[in-house]
Amino acid sequence: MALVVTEALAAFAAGPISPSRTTLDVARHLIETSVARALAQSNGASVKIALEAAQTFGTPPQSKVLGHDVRLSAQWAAFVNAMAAHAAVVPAVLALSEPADVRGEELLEAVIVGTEGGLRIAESVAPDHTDRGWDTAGTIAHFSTVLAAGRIVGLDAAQMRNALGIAATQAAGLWAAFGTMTQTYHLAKAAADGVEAALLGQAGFTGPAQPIEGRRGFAALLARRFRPDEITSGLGSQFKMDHTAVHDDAPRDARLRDELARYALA
Amino acid sequence: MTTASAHAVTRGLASAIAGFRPADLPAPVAHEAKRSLFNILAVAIGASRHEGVEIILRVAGHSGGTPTVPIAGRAERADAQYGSLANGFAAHVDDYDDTHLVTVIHPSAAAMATLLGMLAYTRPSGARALTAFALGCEVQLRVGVAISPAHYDHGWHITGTCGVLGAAAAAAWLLELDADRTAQALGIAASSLLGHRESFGSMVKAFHAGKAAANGILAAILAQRGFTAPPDALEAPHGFADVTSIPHRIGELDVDLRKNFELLKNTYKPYPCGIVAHPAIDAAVALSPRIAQPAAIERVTVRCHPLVPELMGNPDPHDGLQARFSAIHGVAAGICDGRVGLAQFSDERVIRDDVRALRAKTELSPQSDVARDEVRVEVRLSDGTRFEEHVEHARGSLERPLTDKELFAKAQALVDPIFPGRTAKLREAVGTLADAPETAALIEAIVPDGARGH
Repeated sequence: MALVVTEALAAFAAGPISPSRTTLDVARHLIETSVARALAQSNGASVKIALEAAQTFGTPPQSKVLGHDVRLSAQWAAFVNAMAAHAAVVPAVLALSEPADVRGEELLEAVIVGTEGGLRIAESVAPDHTDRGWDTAGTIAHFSTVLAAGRIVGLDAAQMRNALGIAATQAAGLWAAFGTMTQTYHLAKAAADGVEAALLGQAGFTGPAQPIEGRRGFAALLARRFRPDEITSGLGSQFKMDHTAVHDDAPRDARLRDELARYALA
Repeated sequence: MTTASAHAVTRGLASAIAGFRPADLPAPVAHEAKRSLFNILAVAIGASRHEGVEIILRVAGHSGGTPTVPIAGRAERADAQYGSLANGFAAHVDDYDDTHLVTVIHPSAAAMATLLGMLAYTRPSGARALTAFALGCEVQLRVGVAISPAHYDHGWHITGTCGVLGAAAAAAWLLELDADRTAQALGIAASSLLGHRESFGSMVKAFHAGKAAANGILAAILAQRGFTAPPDALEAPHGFADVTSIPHRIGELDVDLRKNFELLKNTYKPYPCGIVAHPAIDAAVALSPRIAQPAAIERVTVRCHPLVPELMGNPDPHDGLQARFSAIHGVAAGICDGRVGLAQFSDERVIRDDVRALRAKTELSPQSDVARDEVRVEVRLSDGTRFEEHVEHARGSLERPLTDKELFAKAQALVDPIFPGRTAKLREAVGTLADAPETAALIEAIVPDGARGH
């Protein structure tokens, strides 16, 4: 089973999905919350610095920076918006949706594959990964953003696997940064890196076959224990993110929701 | 050796970076920095037509920003992000760059990409450019020493992980950040570490060096504007060293950057493949003229250090990238061709019948009493004739560094196919860099005529 983890995730993220109403509701909620936060926080000190830094690159005006009359390339719009939103997946998806002119349904599906994929990877290395000092807002978010961004730009399964490889090797974010602006930077960097990895994957950049489950891959390096079944079991037919639905108060789901909040909504 | 108290490593290092002046670079270190820079620019030019470079520049074309950064070997420019990616990628993709043997860091790729990425923002003098490059290498190596060997052994590609820190140091220094902001840049960089060894054999390996530079530049630009980060990111509990490298000696990191330079121990690869195979390739190239017909070989036995099969054990690679991790291919190609350069690692060469046949007759025999830069190769022909070659120290090892002349010959083989006759100009531009008021001559030496700009 361990051998097919990355391949299964790539196929899931690139293929057709049939989300239930609950799943769609969770995705809608994530989008609303992320956008609301980004707008509310758009003048925060760290957001302003992120925007100034991104502007030094002189990027093409492709995607809107929420709350500002400014457009940046998708990668840097995702960076700044993620900093404001304290969320990674939705800013990455929105930044790429604008130039690609996608339909609402596609946008929701991208948020879903990113969120679901990230949640499953988080589960596969929990709790050991976090205990060791990794901030899932930086690590897991690299997977969720690349899956979501890859779907928006229309990657096929092979390109998606390459993009996953580019993103996986960048999964980072140290607990030592808690309480500083760098804590939020973890999310912002994940959003930007996810977008970049998707664009590189689309252009033909190639990565390793097993970046998640390989002997020197993500799970081996960033966690002591790895349960690949958490990723592959029921992938595509069951959505773990359903259990994080805001109207669902069942106590057994609180931990999952907490995990989701860590990397998607902070 | 000066060690900061164990809880002030990042601050101590940041102070040393911020206070560093070009005059603090001792002459032998400046000389080695020039050798490193010359080597890496030649390597990057040689790889400038690689498919991965084309892909990065294609994405930069539609998603990148103002094209201010020169790309070695190319007429196009790119923004700081994609320009760094392209330069760092090209510098590392052929596995032909430099190696600090104790840490296995290839420091110049990220340091060079950072320097080129920062030129338009900071317009440094030649002396400042060379110093920034040297600092970028040195900081990677100092951190690397403190977390070796656990870090690499765990599976981290140390060129990426430490590369980000060196890049942040060089970029912060070029921006003239004070000690506090330099520490913040290092803190942001520590949270942007990248590089899993799983990506060896794919384009992502070389991506590490380029992205390290891009991340270091971003960290410095953010820190310059007051973005906050932990001031102790290297040594903190749940900081860089603890999270990636138990056991480590981060508290012993020597923060006096004016002496005990690790950069003096940098070495340059004579062959474009994993360094542990180099003694065996030396032996193969030496044996080649004595063997009239490689087809007459019955057996090649390579008595080598145990790391050779561990890191480069692929017995039958299918393409050039895989061949870079096949000591057996290096030996077979060396015997067949009498030389080993980029041509011996082209996809076509790797799958031709003569080397495939010889690879099948070649075996690695790991020996506990053979040193890492040593090898004994025995060739037995079907008529019973035997040849033996013992290499005590590989070319390009610390005991037998590449001479300036050998380094020039290597550079020439890389640069000539792209820019015929340009190598001497490149050597001159790097050699006189410390006295140049600006970096224009250096840039002219690495881009096509007529593509100078700026």
